[in-house]
Amino acid sequence: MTVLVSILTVVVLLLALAVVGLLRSHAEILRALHDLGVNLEDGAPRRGPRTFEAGSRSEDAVARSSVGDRVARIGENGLAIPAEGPLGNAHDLMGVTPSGDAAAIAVRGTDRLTLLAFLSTGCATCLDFWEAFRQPQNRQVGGPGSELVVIAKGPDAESPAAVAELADPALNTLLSSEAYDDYSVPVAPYFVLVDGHTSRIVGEGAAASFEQLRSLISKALADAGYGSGGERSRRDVLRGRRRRATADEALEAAGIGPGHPSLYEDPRPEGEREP
Amino acid sequence: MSTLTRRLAAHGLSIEVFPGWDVRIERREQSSTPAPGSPWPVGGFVHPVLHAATSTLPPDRGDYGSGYVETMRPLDVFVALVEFDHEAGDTAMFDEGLPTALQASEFHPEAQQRVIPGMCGSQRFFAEHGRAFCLYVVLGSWVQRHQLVQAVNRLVATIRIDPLDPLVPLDPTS
Repeated sequence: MTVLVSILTVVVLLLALAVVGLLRSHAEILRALHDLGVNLEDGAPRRGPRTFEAGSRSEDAVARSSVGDRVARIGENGLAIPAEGPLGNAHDLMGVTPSGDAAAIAVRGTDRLTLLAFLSTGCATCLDFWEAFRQPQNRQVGGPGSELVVIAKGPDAESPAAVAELADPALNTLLSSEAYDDYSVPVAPYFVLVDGHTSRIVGEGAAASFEQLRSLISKALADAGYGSGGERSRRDVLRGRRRRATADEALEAAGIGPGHPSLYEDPRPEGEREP
Repeated sequence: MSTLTRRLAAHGLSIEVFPGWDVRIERREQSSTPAPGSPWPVGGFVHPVLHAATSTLPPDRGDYGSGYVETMRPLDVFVALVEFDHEAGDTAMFDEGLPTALQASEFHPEAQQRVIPGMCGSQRFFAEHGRAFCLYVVLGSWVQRHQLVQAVNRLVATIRIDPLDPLVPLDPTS
């Protein structure tokens, strides 16, 4: 009888350990999904945290946003504002090259990140990017090993000759109004970073200069759990480690470390503090 | 060039674009300078080239894939359809019709334009609608050729070749 009770006790303990392990794993997955912008709670608001800016494109961008919607997404500074909603699926590209040839470029189902740079020949802000992309090292702005594809509108809206004049011949350049529609691009310049592994958009938005783009992409990569090498481990994604590391690096750069007085100060004016 | 759903077309060639494939249909710039003592341009007439690959095609590539094939991984595939002067199609080297069922047995490491260890290639010459072509295929792995050739055949079966346009002069300089 004593032996039987002992065996049962051990079995119950082992089962309890297994349940605790499962619950912990479940909590980690939920936390990771939450960090990625997915909230499974009933009635939870949908949000899109993986953007270069505060908003992001609509999940159903496939349904093509109207011209009115896109005009409404142009800010006072003339730069595009990402649409509200979670980040959507990526779309493969198809169009013509500046020399009049045909090209199809896969961005889905690949093992790399692809930065899509939607530029035009007429906008002054775009000139900074055309110039920057002439330098081979700047084409890796989406992370080491990433691909850069520059997309102008189709020949119905852009002059292929003008695009050829601005685009470096070694640059993957495409004229495709279809791509502007697929990605609901309101106005150039606009940038979309795609993870080919998941066929999903990692981040998107506008930038006023190449340096600003570099900074925005680096944040988008960190938010999505990518390291500086543009690669991420499953553990990094699940635990959001890269994100925490980035925050720690930023604090350290600002001279704020463990025990720094600013971490314990109440930011409210003295009169508003609770007794 | 025209795009219709997922079919890419240009220069009288068209092909279905499968997910994960990069495809280009290009015609390089032809010299406007005639070769000495000849009415033909320096470097000869330039014809269209179709390239399809299962990973990123770099902008700078040779007709037979140099610049890309060196970067191929074991499960990558490269297909090149290179057009020749149409008169070549009348010679014995060119079979009639686009080959649509390549066999794993016809791939060999020595059949690559430049031998890359571990990889293999195949080359077929054919004529269709009065146009002469070479279908050149490189597989990223000689060991996996039986598996990879199926992907090639699936793609090649979607290639369409338009007849020569009688309104376009054969000699573009004339």
